[in-house]
Amino acid sequence: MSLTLLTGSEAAAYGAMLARIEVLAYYPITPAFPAMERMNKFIEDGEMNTRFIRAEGDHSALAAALGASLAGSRTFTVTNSQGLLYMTEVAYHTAGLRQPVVMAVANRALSAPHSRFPEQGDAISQDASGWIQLFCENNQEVLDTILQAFKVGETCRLPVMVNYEGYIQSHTQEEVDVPQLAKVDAFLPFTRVSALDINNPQGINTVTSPDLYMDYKYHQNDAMSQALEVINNVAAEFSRDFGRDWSGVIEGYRMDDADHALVTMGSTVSDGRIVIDALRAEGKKAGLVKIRSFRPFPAAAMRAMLKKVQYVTVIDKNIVFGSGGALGNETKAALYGHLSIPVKNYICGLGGRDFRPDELKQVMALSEERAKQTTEYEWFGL
Amino acid sequence: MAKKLPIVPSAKAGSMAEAPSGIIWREQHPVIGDKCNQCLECIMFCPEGALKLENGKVAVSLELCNGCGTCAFECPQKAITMVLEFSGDRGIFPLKEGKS
Repeated sequence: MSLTLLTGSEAAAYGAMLARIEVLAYYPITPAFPAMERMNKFIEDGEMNTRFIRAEGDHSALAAALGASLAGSRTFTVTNSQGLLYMTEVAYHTAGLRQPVVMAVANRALSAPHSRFPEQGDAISQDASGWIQLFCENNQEVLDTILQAFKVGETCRLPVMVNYEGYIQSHTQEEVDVPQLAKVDAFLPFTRVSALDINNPQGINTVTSPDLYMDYKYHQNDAMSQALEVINNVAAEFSRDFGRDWSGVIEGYRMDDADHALVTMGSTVSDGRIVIDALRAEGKKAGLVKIRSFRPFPAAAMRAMLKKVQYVTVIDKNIVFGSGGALGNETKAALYGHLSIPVKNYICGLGGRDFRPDELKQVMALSEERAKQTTEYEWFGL
Repeated sequence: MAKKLPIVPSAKAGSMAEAPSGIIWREQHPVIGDKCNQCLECIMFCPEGALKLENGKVAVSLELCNGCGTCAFECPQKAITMVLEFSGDRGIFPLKEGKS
């Protein structure tokens, strides 16, 4: 193992290199682009034996990745925001055809108005796409999660998005421990599964009538539900092999005796840890719930974690117009009918607006003050 | 109970084929079993004219059959089985059954 300084984009590229991806299909977009640059350097230097497909757009990039995956390749792509939206049609194809393509997403706000800055709205736009969606709090987790994503995807036969925020993570260097290739090979063996076979020609994605379509969707959703356990198992196996525990689908930080839980995902989690430590130092019983897997959503695990708390504050770096924050809505849905705790949902840090640890602390105080008010969600930092 | 299906939605080549009546979009076809006594009820009911008596046996034209299953439903002998067109176990990658 070697400790080095890597941006989130570079960490994603290292993850793809160590996973020995065979096909990289890509169309450039900011801020995901440096990941492709780094992977191209690996290819140029002979460190990666990967076929690079330069697509003419994101829709084609994911289509190429899907085709390569159907032919049996371990396949990777990177995108964000508008690129992800442009990929959407093929994203649903990839999930429905059950291909374990792994995609790194450097989360960026969606147009209009045009923005290049961090926000999780792009990932949230894909919440019904059938992709497993994992969120990373730091660059080490980006690298480690890419490795886990291939294993999870290939076990469940589902595509996986690995999310890290643009700039906050994609362009910020952090210490990252790059594992040895031999250890990764042992953790992540590859079994080629080819849906396309010239000796047994068949139609893929044929027209499916009402007699079968619903059953296909049942099986797809069943695989998604089973993924909760697979993600936990793969994370546990990773922790045994590499000594870093990212705790599967959900993590409780200082939650044992907590009466106020902060629920969030992505880079806000690492700020959250600082805030929780500060509140604990002041004698307040605060804890953090990190959602690592937004899809599938670990509703039962979340209920178990929030069983004893009095206050729940959910931070969303996204807005589902006319509805609230996506994580806030999932949290309320998970608790409804089981626990009657007020859930305060705050929309924060959209389009790259800075959201600092001291502001996170303010939001938690505000949430306790207003716990009895029945607002669906509130905006912070306007 | 959800039907057992291949993991990758797929079907045998030819399950969607060009026929005189246009594009056939069929997901199952009849297989005439041993119980057939050549009563020819199925031929009477088939809306596509896909069944005929050939060398003393009922034969199915897969160019004409639309997979509706009327023949199997009407057969007094229950001699006709509708067989799904998708390609069986091919592409099935077993996950644990019945867990959610």
